[in-house]
Amino acid sequence: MRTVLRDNGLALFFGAVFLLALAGQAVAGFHAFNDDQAADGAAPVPFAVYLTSSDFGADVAENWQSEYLQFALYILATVYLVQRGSPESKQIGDEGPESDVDQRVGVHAHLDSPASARARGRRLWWYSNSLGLTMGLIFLGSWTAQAVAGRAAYNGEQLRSYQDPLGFGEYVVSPDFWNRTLQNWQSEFLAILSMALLSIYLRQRGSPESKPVGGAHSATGLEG
Amino acid sequence: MRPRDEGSGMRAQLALFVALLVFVGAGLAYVVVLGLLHR
Repeated sequence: MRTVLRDNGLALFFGAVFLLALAGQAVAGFHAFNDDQAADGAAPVPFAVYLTSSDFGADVAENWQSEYLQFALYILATVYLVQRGSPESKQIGDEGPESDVDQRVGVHAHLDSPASARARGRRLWWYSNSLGLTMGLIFLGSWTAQAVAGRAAYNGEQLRSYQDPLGFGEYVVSPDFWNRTLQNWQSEFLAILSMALLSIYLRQRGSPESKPVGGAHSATGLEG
Repeated sequence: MRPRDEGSGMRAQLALFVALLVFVGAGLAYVVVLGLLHR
């Protein structure tokens, strides 16, 4: 049991803080929602009603989509782009999908390689891209969920102020949708840019996201 | 690590992997249903 806990420390820690943060968001969002209700002269809603509102759904989905976009783009961009001096980057010159020998696929698969790495053709292609595809698929699903729930939340506000609701096609080109979307994207892209550049000169002892403390500034793809 | 421990460790990791995908998929389906119900 102790071994299972230790072996899955990262997943369990982030799973726990995720659930705590989601619960905190629900409570804070509930109070903010009822503050708005009071300002509009409307009756406060119970917590359960807020949890099943499109406002809560849209707030959750808009953050999920940007995080999954961040990782999907990072996974794909680091295949083709390098950053000299960054531990997050491949070695200069290794850009691209790399050789079958380096990737241990087909006849170059090792004894402990997954069965799909030994396959050929379409199965090997899908497995070779399964991480980026899955993150990308969850991004598209989250973005769609944000659009569907965001439109319902937006139309609720429109109706409360006696304005026309928007159709789905109108909402996805509206300033509200793109404001919600881009305010999340810009912060994710800045965080990736910061990681790529700060990790060239700064160190975090013991972290695989950093170069070793004594690693040269010019060393690329050297993890601690 | 003994092979038996390794097997149960891999099963726990697979369970976490599946639980994450199910949770995220269910969460997104929930948000879409909320949006459709309240449109």
